[in-house]
Amino acid sequence: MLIKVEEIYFHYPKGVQALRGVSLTIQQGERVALIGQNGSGKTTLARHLNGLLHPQRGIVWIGDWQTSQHTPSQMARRVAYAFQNPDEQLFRFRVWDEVAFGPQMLGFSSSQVQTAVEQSLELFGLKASAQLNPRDLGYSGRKRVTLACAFAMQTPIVVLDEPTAGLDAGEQARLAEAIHFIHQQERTVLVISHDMDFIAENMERVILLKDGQVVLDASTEVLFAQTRILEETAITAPQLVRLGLRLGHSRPALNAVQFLDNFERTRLNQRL
Amino acid sequence: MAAIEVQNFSYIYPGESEAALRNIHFEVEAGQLFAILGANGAGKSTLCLALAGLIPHLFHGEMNGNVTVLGMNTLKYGPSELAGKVGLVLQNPANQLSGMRYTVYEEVAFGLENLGVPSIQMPERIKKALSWVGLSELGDRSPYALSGGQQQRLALASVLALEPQVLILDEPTAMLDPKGSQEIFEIIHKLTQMGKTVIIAEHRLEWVACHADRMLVLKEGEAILQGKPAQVMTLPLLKEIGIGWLRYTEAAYLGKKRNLWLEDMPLPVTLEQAVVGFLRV
Repeated sequence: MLIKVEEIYFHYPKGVQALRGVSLTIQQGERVALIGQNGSGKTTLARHLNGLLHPQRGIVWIGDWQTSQHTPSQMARRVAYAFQNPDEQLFRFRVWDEVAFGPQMLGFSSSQVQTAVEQSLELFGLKASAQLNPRDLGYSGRKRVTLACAFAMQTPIVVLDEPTAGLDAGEQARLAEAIHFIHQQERTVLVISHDMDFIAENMERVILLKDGQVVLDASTEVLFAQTRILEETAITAPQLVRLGLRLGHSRPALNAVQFLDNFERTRLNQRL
Repeated sequence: MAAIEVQNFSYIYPGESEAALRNIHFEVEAGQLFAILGANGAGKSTLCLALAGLIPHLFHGEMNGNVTVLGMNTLKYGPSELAGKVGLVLQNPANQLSGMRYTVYEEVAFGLENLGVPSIQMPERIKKALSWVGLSELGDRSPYALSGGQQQRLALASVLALEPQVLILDEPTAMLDPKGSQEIFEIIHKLTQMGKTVIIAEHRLEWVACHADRMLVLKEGEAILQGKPAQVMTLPLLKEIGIGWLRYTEAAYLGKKRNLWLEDMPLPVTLEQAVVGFLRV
C-alpha cells in the first residue's frame, strides 16, 4: 500500500511549526527509517500517517484514502502505530488483552485473534508475561508490549516510534527479526529512531528531517556516505561507518561483513 | 579506599519467591566510574536501589549480606542519612519528581530544603545544577510540562544540587536523543574528574567501553563477571546473555577468521583500538 505525503504543513496550537512542506512517497514493502534530532518533526509526521494528526495544508494518502477523511479507528485498518512512550498507549490489565485489543477492534475472528496474539507474544519474548498487568513490567517489557500490539494488527503499514529505546541487545535482535518478518510479507515498516547502528543493519532507506523539512531522502548506504550532512544535523554515524572513514574506506559499511569487504578492497587498491 | 563495598548481598522483593539478586560481591574505589551491565531484568535497577539504601528501607522484602557506602552500612543508615552523600537518578524520571512543586526551580530546591541547606546558599546551587544539565531557561516551567528527556535532566539536576560524593545513575540517557545523551555523558565525565564516584547502569556500550574504569556483569540476579572494559566486553558470553558486543569487536572477531585481524591482537572495544588494530594488519 502506497504512502504519499504531499507538501504538508502542521503547527501545534502553541504555535510550534512542526512540519514545513514535507513531501514523500513510500512504496509498499519498503523498510524506511525516519531520523533527525528531537524536535525535528519525526513523531509529528508519523502521527499524520495513522490520522492522529491532520495537516493544516497538504494531503496524506494511505493507499486510496486521504487521512483527513477517515477517523483514526478507520486508519488503524491500514496503519498500526507503536508509541514512543509505552505509557501513553497501554490501558488494559493483562498483556494478552492489550495485544488482542487491536485485532479484536479490526474484527478478527476469535481464532485469528488467538493466532495473532500468540505469534506477536512469541516474537517479542512476552509469552511468559501474557497474564501479567503491562504496568508491572519494566520499561523494556512495556515497550515490547506496544511493539507486539502493532505487529498483531497485521496492517499493510507498521509505524514504530523509537522501538529500540530501552531494549537490550537480545531484545533488539528480536525486533530485527520481527521487522524482517513484516518485510518478507511485503508490508511496509517505518521506524523512527536515533539508533544508527540498528538502522544501518535493518533499514534500506532513510529520510532525514530537520526543522520540519526533509533534508535528505536516500538509501541507507548513500545517507551514511554524507558525512557533512550528518555533522550538520548532529547525527552520529554507525560504528562501522566511523571506523571505515578513519581507515580511508570510500564506501560506508552497513554491517561487519561489508566492512571487512571494504577493508580488503581498500588494502588491495593501496597495494596496486 | 573503597567508596562502596557490597558483600554477599541477596535480595527478594516482597511477595516474590525468587531472589532478584543473589550473593553479589564487589567493591568500587573512590573516584571510579563503575558500570553495571546486564540484559533487562538481570537486576541492575535493584542493585542501584540497594546502593542508595532504598533497599531495605523503602522496599522491604528480604535482604541478606551488607552494602556499605562511604563507610555507612545501609542496614544501619537509611536514605535520609545517605541523602546528600549518595545521589540516585532513577531510570524513569517521572518516578523521581516530588509531585509537590510547581516549577523546575522549586523541584531542584525540594531536595535542598529537605537536607536543611541554608536558604542563602540555595539559589546558587540550584542555578549551577540547572546550568549543568542545560535547563537554565526552563526554571519557571512546570516539571510536568517537560519532555521525557528534559525530565531526565531535571532528575539529574535535583541530585547534582545536593553535591553528593557518590552518584548512582540508572540508565540516565534512556529517554534522550544522541545529542542530549552526549551532554549528560559529558557531565558524568566532569563529575569523575572532580573525584566523584559514579555507578552507572547503561545499555550504551560504546560510551561505557570508553569511560568506565571497571564493570560488573549481571545475569539473572547473579554477578558473573567483573573487570576492565577491555577484559569483559570481548567475552563471547556477553552475546549469549543479551548484552551483545560492540560492532568494532564483532568486525575484528570476524576479521580474524579472514586473516584481517592479527591473531595475537586483543579484540577492540573502542573506535581507537579498532583503528590501531586494523592498521596493523
